Amino acid sequence: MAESAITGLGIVSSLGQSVSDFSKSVLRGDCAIGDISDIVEPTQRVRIGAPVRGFKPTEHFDSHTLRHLDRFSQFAAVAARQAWAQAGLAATAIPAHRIGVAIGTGVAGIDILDDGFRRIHVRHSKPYPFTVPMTMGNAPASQIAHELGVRGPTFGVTSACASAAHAILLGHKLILSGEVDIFVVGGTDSCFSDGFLRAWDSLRALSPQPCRPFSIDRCGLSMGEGAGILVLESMQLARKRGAVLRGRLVGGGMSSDAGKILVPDASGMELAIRTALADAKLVADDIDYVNAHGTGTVANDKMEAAAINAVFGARQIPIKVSSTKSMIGHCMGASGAIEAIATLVALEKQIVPPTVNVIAPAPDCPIDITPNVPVAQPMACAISNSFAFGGINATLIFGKAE
Amino acid sequence: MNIAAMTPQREREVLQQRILAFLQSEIQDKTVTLRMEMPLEDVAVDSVDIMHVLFKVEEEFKIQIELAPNNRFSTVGDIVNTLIDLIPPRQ
Repeated sequence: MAESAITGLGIVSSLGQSVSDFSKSVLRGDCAIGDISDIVEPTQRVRIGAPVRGFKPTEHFDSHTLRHLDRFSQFAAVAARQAWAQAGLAATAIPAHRIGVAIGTGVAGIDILDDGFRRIHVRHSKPYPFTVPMTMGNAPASQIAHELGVRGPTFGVTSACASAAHAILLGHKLILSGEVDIFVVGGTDSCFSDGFLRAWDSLRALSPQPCRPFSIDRCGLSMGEGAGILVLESMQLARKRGAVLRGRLVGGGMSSDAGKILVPDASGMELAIRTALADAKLVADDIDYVNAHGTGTVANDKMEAAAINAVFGARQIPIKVSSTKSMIGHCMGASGAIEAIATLVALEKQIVPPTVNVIAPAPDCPIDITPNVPVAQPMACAISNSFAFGGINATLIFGKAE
Repeated sequence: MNIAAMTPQREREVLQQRILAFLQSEIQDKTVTLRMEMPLEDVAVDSVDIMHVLFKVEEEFKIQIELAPNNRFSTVGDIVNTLIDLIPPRQ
């Protein structure tokens, strides 16, 4: 089996700014989605979400560095430091060019861009001089490479809500190719600028209550934000240096619906899951848990349930499924990485995190969504789905650390 | 402060201190206290720092400065004096 070791995890989330805090909250089903009236403008219609609270940039960066880091880059750099420290790589002599960085973002530097437009149109001034390098989608990857002093392939990845999953999978494939030994991968997004929230409101995709994935009366997603970072490492190197594994990435699949930009398609999702299983040389019965994309929109959840049933529906005992977005909202380009971490801690603790806010399972989503209460069960492998606007799909398969 | 009531000489001194403070806040090495005669290479002032100072001057004095960041400066005073000359006198 061609797999990568996962030797470090880092997170900045609405349910904690350490993996241990996040793990405790996710595995008991805490919900961070709540009133955001204190951080949005009075005329903003969107009044709920799951922002990262208590993140103080000056605790993490000096003023000189903060001049050119937008919030999404700050999240990613802080999470990467956690992951890097946990991997224990600082003291090793791995050549810098054998380590890469791939960070997904769906939104990129919207905060500074939003501020720039206000300066132009409201204050008749000009944008902050560093708007361009702060906004660019590769800014988080570049900052991480700079901080860690790594010199291998470094790039941003963008595919809306599948960005992080694509970044993780690209890093994994480059390790397997032999081009690098280590990849710092993940995703990040900062999503509570006024303009960005208004754009989502205009799309009419936001739920007026905390989102209820796979539930009856579900009516949209809740906005989230944050960053998740994983240190992927060649299994050979991890074993050789005696690294402690947080889990294993055993395979993944990517697909496109080749369909409509906003309409999800079960066959494209199913293709991603089946491709991932084939990549990992596993069959449906080898998977013990599905960490769903589970946005809470009527269309996504119905299509995802159909795709899950198409692959796993023949099992005697229905596979456990849950949506982390019910707790932390939709973290856009970061969601694939934050949910990968949720999947890994589920495997580590052998607890299926619940889908919270469920009134009752929806008849159009006939799957076991682990409603409201976590369930302990033995698990060896689990999948994490990311299905993006644009009909772009990615499924990752994780194995528990042996 | 009431710049309008100052003599031209005093006004220039006040602007000098203001711009020097802008530049001081941008440099990374907080142990350095900038003085006009200091060579830029000794105090690690780079083009990015200068861009930030230009922006602050533009914001504070509500002016547009036409100055490329590659403009050659060799001392702290070169930057400060160039910027002072670009700020229109108060009426």
